Amino acid sequence: MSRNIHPDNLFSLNNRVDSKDGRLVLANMIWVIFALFIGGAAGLLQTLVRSGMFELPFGIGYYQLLTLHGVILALVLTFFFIMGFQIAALSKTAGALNRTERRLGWIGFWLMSAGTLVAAVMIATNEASVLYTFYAPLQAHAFYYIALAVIIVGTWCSVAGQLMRYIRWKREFRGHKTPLLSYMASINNVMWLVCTIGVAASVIFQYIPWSLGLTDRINVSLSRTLFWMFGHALVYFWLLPAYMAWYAVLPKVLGTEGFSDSLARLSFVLFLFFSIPVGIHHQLTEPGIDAFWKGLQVVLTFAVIVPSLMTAFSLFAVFETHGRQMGATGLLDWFKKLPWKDARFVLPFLGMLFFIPGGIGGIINASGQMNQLVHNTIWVVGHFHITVGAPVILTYFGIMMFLLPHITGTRITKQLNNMGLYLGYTWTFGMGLMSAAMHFAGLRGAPRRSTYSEYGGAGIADEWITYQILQAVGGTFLFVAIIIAVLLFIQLMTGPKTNVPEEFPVAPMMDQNAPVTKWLENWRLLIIITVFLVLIAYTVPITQMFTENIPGAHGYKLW
Amino acid sequence: MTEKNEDRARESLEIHEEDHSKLDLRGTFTMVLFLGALMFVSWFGAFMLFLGRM
Repeated sequence: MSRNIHPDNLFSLNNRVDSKDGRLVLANMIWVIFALFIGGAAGLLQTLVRSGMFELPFGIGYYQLLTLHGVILALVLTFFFIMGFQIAALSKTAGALNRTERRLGWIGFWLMSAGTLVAAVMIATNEASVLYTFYAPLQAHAFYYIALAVIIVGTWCSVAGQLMRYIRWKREFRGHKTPLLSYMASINNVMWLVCTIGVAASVIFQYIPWSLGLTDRINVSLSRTLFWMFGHALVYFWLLPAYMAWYAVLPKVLGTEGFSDSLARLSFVLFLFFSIPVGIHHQLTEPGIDAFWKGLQVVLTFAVIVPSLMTAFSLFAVFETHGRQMGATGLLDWFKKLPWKDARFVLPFLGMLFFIPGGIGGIINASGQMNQLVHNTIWVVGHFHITVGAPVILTYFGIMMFLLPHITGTRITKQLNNMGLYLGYTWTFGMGLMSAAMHFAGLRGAPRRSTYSEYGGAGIADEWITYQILQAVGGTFLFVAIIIAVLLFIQLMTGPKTNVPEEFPVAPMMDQNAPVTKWLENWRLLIIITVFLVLIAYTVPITQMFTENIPGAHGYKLW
Repeated sequence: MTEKNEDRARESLEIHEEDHSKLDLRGTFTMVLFLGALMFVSWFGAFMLFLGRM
C-alpha cells in the first residue's frame, strides 16, 4: 500500500490519494472549513465596526476580534490546508505514506488542533488581543505563546512525515526526476523548516519567559526581526501550494500539458532562495537596523519578481497553447477558449487576476521611500487581502473543488460546479470592492490596526468614512461567499458515492522526458544556498541587536 | 476500475512532447509585455505621489 509510484507511471489515472492518507487530508480540510466560517464572521464584524454603524455586543473588543480574524485565517486555515493538500499531492504523485509518515501527519494534526484550541481560549477570554503578529511590548498570556509554539511544532511533525515520503521515492528511483508536485511540496516544506527556526527561538527564549515573568524585559527589535524572518516567508508558504496547482493541476483541467518542468522547478528553487532573507522590508521604518541591511533585503525582495514573472509567462503559455489547440488564431482570442464554466479553472483564474495588482502593490510596499507613503496604513491590509485573501484562497477553493470529492468518492455535479462559480464571482466582487477601498483610504492616510474613530472631528478622518462603508459592503459580499463555500464543501464531502470518483488532475509537462537538471535535485546544495543567503542578510543586523545595548521593554496590556 | 477508466488511464500515460520553439506564443509575449508596462506605470504613479508629499 505504501509503495512508490514508478516514474513511468506517474500520470496514470489509477494513481489516487490513498484512502488512509485521505482521512488525514479530510481531517485537515474540516478545520479549514470551520476556520473559514469563524474567521470570515470576525472579518465581517470588523468591517461593520469600522463603518461606524455597528457596535460589538457582549463586551467583545475590536482588537480581540482582529486577533481572532488574523490567527484563524492567516495561521489556522492556511496551515491545515497546506498540510492537507501537500499530503494529498505526495500520496497522489509519489505514492501512499507509510505508517510512520502518516503517524507523523496525525501527530502534527493533533498538535496543531490542540494549539489552536488553547490559542482560541486565550483570545476568547481576552487574554491575548495582541493580533496575529503578536508584536512586543504588547504582552499576551503565556499560554497564547505556548499555543502558537505548539502549532508550529505540529507543522514540523507533519512536514517531517511529508519529507520522509519524498525521500523514500527519491532513494528508490535515484537519478530520476522526482514527481513535480512532490518536489514542489518539499521545496515549500524545506523553506518552512528554515524560516520557522527564528520565530520558534523568539517565542521560546523571548516571549514565553517574558510573559511568565521570568524575564523583566524583551528586546523588541530582535523579536520583530525574528518574526519577519518567518513572517514574509509565511506569505510564500501560503502561496506555493497555489503555484503548485497553477503549474501542475490547471493544465490538466484544461486538457493540455504544463509548459515546462524545468522552468517550474527553477521557479520554486528561486522562491526557496528569496523568500526568507527579505523580512526586514517589513521593518523599513523601524530604528535599530542599518540602512545598508534594509537596502540589501529590499534588493533580495525584488529578486522574487523573477520567479513570479516566470510563473506568469508559463501560465499564459499554457493558456495560449490550449487555445490554439482549440482553434484560436488571433493574438488574444485564445482567452475565449478557456473553460469559463469549469469552477476548477475559474476559481484559480480569478485569483490570478488579483495577483497582478497584488504583485504591483508589493513592489510599492517594498520600495524604501514609497513604503513611507503606505506604512501602517490600511493600504497594507488591502494589499494582503488581494494576495492571500484572493489568489491564495481562491486557488485553495479551486483545489477543494476536486480534492474533497476525490477523497470521499463523490463527483462534482453541475449544481455544485455552479455553486463554485457563484462562490468565485461573489468573492471576487466582495474582495475587489473591499480591498480597493482599503488601498484608496490608505493612500489618504487611514491607519491600519485601529477601530472606528472620528479622531476628534479631524477633517481628514471624514475623507475615510466613505471608504470604510465600502469596505463593509465588500465584507458583506465576502461573508455571503463564505456561506456558499461552506455549503459547497459540505456537499462535496457528503454527496452520493460513485464508482468513478472525481479525478485529482495532474498534468505532464511539455518537456516531461527531458533529462533531469541535476543541481535542481541536489537538496544539499539548495539548502546550503538558502541558509547562506539567510546568514548574509541577517547575521550583522541581529548581532547589532545584541551588541548595541538596545533597552528592553516591559510588557503592556492595553486592552 | 471500469474498462472505460482503464482506457483513460492508458491514455493519460502517453505524453506528447512539444517543442517549445514551435509554439505560437505571440499572445503570451504581448501579455507579459503588458504586465511589465502595468507594473512600471503603477510604480511610477506611486513614486510621483511620494514626491508630491515629500
